[in-house]
Amino acid sequence: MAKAMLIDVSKCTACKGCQVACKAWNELPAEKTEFKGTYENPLSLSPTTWTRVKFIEMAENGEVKWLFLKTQCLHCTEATCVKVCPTGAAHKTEEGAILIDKEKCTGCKYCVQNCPFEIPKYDADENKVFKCRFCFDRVSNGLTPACALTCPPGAVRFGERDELVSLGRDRVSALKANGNPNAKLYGETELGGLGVMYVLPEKASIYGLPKEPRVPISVVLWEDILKPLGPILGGAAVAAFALSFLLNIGYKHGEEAEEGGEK
Amino acid sequence: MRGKRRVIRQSAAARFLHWTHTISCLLLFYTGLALYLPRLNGLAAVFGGLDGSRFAHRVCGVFFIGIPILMIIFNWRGFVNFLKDIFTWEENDTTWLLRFPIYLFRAKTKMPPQGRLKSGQKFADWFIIGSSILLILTGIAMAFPANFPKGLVQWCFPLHELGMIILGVFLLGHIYLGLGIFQPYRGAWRYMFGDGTVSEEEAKYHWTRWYEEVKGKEST
Repeated sequence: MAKAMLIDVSKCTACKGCQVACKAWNELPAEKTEFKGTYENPLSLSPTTWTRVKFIEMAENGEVKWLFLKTQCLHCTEATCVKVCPTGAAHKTEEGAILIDKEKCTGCKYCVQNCPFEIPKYDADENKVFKCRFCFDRVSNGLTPACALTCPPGAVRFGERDELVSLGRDRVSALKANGNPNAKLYGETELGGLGVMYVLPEKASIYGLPKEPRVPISVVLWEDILKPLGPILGGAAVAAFALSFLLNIGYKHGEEAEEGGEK
Repeated sequence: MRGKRRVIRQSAAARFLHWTHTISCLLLFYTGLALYLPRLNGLAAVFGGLDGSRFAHRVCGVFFIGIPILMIIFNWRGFVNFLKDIFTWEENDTTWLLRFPIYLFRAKTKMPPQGRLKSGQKFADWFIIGSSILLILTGIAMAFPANFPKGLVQWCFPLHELGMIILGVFLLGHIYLGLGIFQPYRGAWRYMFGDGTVSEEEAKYHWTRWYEEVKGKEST
């Protein structure tokens, strides 16, 4: 995967420009929201909200730190949604974007229930699942994703993955040297390398991100062990019964008597 | 073997349950298989696509779950007898079961006499019923995921598939033996799909002890 996105959380001002740009480019309608005592808005991703800035209030040494995290599909290399999708609707493009083919999606929600980051959202009216498409229609035409293009402080960058990794590492060292000992480049190697990486000034868990994201064990058992086991066992049974049939052609009751005294 | 005296083997209630379960189970298996792998999605075309086949899967599920529950309620005695049948283990049973793999490939192997159910039947019943219960419980959670914790629903996917594999393998055996494709079992389909009777000759061959018991009762 050559292209990637780097979200430098330490630079984000929570202007929500990315949210607006995403809606504008993808022609997604605004949502009616409620005030819940936070500037976070809307309160969760939805079939028509593919990125949003999450607000976190973190207390440390009697001081409150206000943290922001742009959430969206992270376009994993080892994508759980692709693994569990029973129709092949969820797939990975050459550029590394994870897309859900609307034609093939049957709304089974397997991806919704198994995504380690809880990203895909189900639309009951359309009976389909929606999420960030990594602006594949822009990227495949040499353009930058809408959110990265619009980001005023340059917190969202798009480009060659190798370059972004080294940029991310530099930012992490700078943050560590400036009072953020827990700073981390998230996504460099996680799940085979995420298509969207974060420069996190604090621990991943504070942002609600899994510390070590992985394909759920239940999914590994399901897709990597049981799925191939079914045809093997079924085939073995059919072969055994076919052999049994062939070996017993012409059998008539009473033949056991020939066995004589054997019990 | 026709024309000779016949012994009642399966009650009308048992045959009704078996018929409804045969149909619902095969449809459940077929519609489930359509989601097993993307390249099997085409199977769903019969139901007008995957939406239709998923709906059919759930409708069949209602029958698959509902009919046994109604039967348990309205035929409690039959249910208790069935449980007794499948959970008794007699002296010959272990020997019979251990010898079965040889018998399967060499039908003239001498087998010890069996009671109302062969130990192989009981053994298969445990797995068929156990995997069915697993499929039912996980299926309910998968059909109504909003009512169950996410972690539980996630585990239901592999467990549902495990249940399908166990049930599938045992059903292949059940079909091979039960339909009488296996030569010593010729005509066995009639016990469940026909009028529920078995000829004395066949009864003696399959379940010698049971047959003698039935005969003993008749003569007293």
